Amino acid sequence: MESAVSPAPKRTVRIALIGNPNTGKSTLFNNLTGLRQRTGNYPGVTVSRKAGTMKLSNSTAELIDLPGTYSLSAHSPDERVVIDVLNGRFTEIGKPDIILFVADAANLRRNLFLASQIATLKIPMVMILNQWDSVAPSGQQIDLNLLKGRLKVPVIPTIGTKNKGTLEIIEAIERLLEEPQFLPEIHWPKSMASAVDHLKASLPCVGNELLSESETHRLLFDTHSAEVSRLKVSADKARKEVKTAREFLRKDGMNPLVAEAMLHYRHIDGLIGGVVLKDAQLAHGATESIDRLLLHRGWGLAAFVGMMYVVFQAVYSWAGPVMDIIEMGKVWIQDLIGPALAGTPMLQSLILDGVIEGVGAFLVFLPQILILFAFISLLEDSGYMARAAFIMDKLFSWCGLNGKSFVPLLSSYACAIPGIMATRTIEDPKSRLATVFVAPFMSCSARLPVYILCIGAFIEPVYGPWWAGFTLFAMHFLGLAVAVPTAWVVTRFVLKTKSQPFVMELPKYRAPRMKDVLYRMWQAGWEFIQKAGTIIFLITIIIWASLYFPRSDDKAADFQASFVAEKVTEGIGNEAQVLALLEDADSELAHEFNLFLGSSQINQSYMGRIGKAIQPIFEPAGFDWRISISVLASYPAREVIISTLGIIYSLGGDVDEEDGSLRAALKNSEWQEGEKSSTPIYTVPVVIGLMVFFALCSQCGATTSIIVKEAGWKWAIISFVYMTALAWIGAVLCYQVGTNLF
Amino acid sequence: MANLLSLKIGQSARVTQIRAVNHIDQRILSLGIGADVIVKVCKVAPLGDPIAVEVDGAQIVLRKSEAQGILVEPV
Repeated sequence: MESAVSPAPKRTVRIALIGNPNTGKSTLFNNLTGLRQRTGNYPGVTVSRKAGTMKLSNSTAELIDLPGTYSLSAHSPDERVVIDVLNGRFTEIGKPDIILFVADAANLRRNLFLASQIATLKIPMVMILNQWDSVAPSGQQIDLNLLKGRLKVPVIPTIGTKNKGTLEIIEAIERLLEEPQFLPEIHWPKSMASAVDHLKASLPCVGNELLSESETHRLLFDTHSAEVSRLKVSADKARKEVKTAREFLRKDGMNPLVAEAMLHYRHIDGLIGGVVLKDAQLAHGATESIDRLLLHRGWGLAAFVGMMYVVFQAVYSWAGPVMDIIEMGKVWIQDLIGPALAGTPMLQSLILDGVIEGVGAFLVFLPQILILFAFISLLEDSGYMARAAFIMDKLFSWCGLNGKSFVPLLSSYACAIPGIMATRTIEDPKSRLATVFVAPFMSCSARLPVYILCIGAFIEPVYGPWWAGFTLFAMHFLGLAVAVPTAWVVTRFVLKTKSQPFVMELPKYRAPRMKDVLYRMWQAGWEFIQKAGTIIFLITIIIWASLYFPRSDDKAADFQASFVAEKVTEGIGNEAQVLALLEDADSELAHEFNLFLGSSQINQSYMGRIGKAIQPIFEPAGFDWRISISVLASYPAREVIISTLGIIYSLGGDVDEEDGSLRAALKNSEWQEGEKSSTPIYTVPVVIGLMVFFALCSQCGATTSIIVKEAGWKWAIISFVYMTALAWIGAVLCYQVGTNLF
Repeated sequence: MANLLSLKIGQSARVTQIRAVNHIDQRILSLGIGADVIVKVCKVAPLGDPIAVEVDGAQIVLRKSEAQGILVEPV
């Protein structure tokens, strides 16, 4: 996978920011780097990567924000990112020169576990005690001087949300560059050295490098360690050697599966003994009182539903006016530029229908993305997101997802783009990938025009409003009904890596900071434009070309000749009279001719030809060639079907789903030939099949692009093929069952 | 032997052993839930699963399936 983060020049100091989740790491990152941030993915995995430039007094340094984690254990390459970066396994990132370790000051013992694991790497460290202002309210006192003496590295108390301590961090980095300081390492029993040496000697990595000491620890202590995949030797050989190494520990009286945590915590207790004084009386504060309400069986669920309703409404409705403005701006620019290019029709079409349409195609998603990420930032920074996951986990766990899948899936009902981007809040890579995979099944707002056209034209007039409403509901429910078993199959049979247990912390509530919310929105929006925007733009241009070409003056003349001949036989006048009428651009006949020309051009374009060629594929679903072309043209964006049908039925591209003439055209549409000749094309089974097709099909270039970005090409292709196949099967089932049974 | 699930809300207990349900997970150990640590069940999700356990002043969410493997003796 391509990465946006360019390799740092040789002399730039590399600094890694690392810590447990919920320690305020992102806030510190924003304080240290300001807007000098870049995002991307780590090569080969789906974990998002954030880096930025920070200013030191005489130079700049590269700051890498590593994903929050409680331990260096890794069961999948995704989880291995942290230990891989620390060991310099990504050549383009390089081994960090300094580690900024962010600890939650109110939870020192637990936070130091990861720090103690990292000490093995022998990288100079700054110990940041963030959220320092929460120490006293939690009923604790920390003896800073004693702690500084014990940890032997700079210890900086900070309050990230108030930007306190940022300068001290920079000073500490500069001191470390002069004179490196290290966190005291754990004193392992002698048998550890034998075990580590055995693994280093017997298990070379791919490329003949040796395992680092921290990597041998992962093999030694973790079951199903992802380190195995970096080894040159087979998994069987690795298992055998790990077993031999574990024997060294067993002979020394240690259980390898629990020894690591026990020894690290013993080491930590030695480091912080007498440092943290607890006053048990004061242990619970505002967080407990808020939780009593927000996690209450009745009130808590009501509050959750209320909050999620606001999030959904915001993405679904609030974005609307801004999207309309973008749409209006697009039309305004098209009207402005259009006349200037009238002399060169191809260039005019390329600029108006290709380039401007293409830019508009991805800009239109921005309002939803920005709004959703504002809410996600508020929910996460306040501490509520973890509660939301806590509340929803039971509904999701049985099909392999977890509570954190809820917000992304809910947002996908408005639009899958922000929804899929929101899956980044899911730490477990397996659940995250499964959520990305099923999110496009949620019935997004772009499917609504298709439902409204079909239901309005064929269901409501015949069966009444009750069935119309039911059909609309059924279409929205269908995606969910398909998504759940899909997630179950994907997590159980496709993704073979071990599931992470759903273990997380319920952080204390805190007031979110506006600045961090804005950073988050900016980041999400910019990343979307950079990564998905280019792909969406390209797809739009390709589709434009396939609808425009081949086109020539000869062809246009042919179309005109056949139009004139038809009008002559209709008795409007002789050829010269008809041609004269066409000369007058304002005449009704000229308007009709333009629509006829549009329809003829699309019919003979590459897209039209392909549509006709593949019509046999859609035959079992009862689709004629017009529907086939429309379905095909809707692959970049499903709502395009309305304007495509408008053009094909010579009504022009600016019809909408409420348009009476389009509904009438569909109703009057009949088969021209074959055994079904003169019977209506749009029977109820065909219409239902068409809606089911749109409900299930992967007809959104933007969604496919964002899946490429978040999960890689492989998953994007699998998703595309799977959704298209399901859609076809669904449409065929509807038609065949509907036609043969009723 | 009692496990975490047999505790009432608000009840504290000492962890005696972490038994593998599927496999012992380092993550649970790294969060500080290990032998001799005092834990307290503090919350149950509105739908009955998962639960939140207080360890060392922090609240950790665990699914019941994982909590079952954490053996305790009430204190």
